[in-house]
Amino acid sequence: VIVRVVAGAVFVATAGWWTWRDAHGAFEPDDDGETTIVSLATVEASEPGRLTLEKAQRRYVVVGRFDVFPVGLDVTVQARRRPDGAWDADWVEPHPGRAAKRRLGAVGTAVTVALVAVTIRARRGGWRLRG
Amino acid sequence: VADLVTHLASALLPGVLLPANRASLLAIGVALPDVGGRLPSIAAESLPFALPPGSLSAFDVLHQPIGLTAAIVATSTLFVPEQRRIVAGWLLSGAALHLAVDLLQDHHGQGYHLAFPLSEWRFELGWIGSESSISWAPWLGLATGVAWAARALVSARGRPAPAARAR
Repeated sequence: VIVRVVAGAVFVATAGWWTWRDAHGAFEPDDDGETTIVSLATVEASEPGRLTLEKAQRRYVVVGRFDVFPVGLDVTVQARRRPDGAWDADWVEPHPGRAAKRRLGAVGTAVTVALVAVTIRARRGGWRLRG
Repeated sequence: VADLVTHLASALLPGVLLPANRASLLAIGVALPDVGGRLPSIAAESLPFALPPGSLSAFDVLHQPIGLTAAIVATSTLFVPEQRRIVAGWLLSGAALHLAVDLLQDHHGQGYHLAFPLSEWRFELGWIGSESSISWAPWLGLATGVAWAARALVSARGRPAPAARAR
């Protein structure tokens, strides 16, 4: 019981502190004029020289000298923030393999669920390993 | 993150030499950081309404060593007492394997939070591209399937499988 309470408390404290730091912008790109990288954000809208990206439920408007990217594509951007809140891009790198990666993730998740089902039995008095 | 098929193969391919339930625990541990840390946000994308920004960020700590260790230790206490150490040990080994493979990747220096909440320092080795594993995944998956099929065949013929000999 002590191990469960301590481990649970560490998890809740860590998750809570992470959520707090995230809510206060600790993990967002800096807006101090330095170049920064927004990694693996998803294109929500695109027109020549202007992109709207979404990452972790946040939106970024990116401007620069680039062509149209397909909506749904994941990209990494190196940019610096402008006074109007948009991001001036130095470069935009597309990641066309991310869709395949998500499909592999779905396959892997299904395999994991099957492994849990064949390995663990939930019983009164405690879970048990099969075999 | 590397793709989940590659992660599972990294556990199940060598796991063919382990007892089946140990190999399975190792594989579940390997999958936990992605399934626990990323699946909620992927599932949220299919909701008909948008969740408030940051509402799912608590799950991110399942892809970090300290948060993940705490979650695994807490979960292992749900097992019967004589199996708790075994479960925690194999799940933690799998989770460590997952994070080690992810550290190989390059995200332009963005890296992973390895010491949160003690530090917000990030690190990655950056030796391979973040999508490199996609081309290996089908072959690794196939090799894993062949290895486990061969093991099943050996067991079915009555000869002791490597795992059985190890017991």
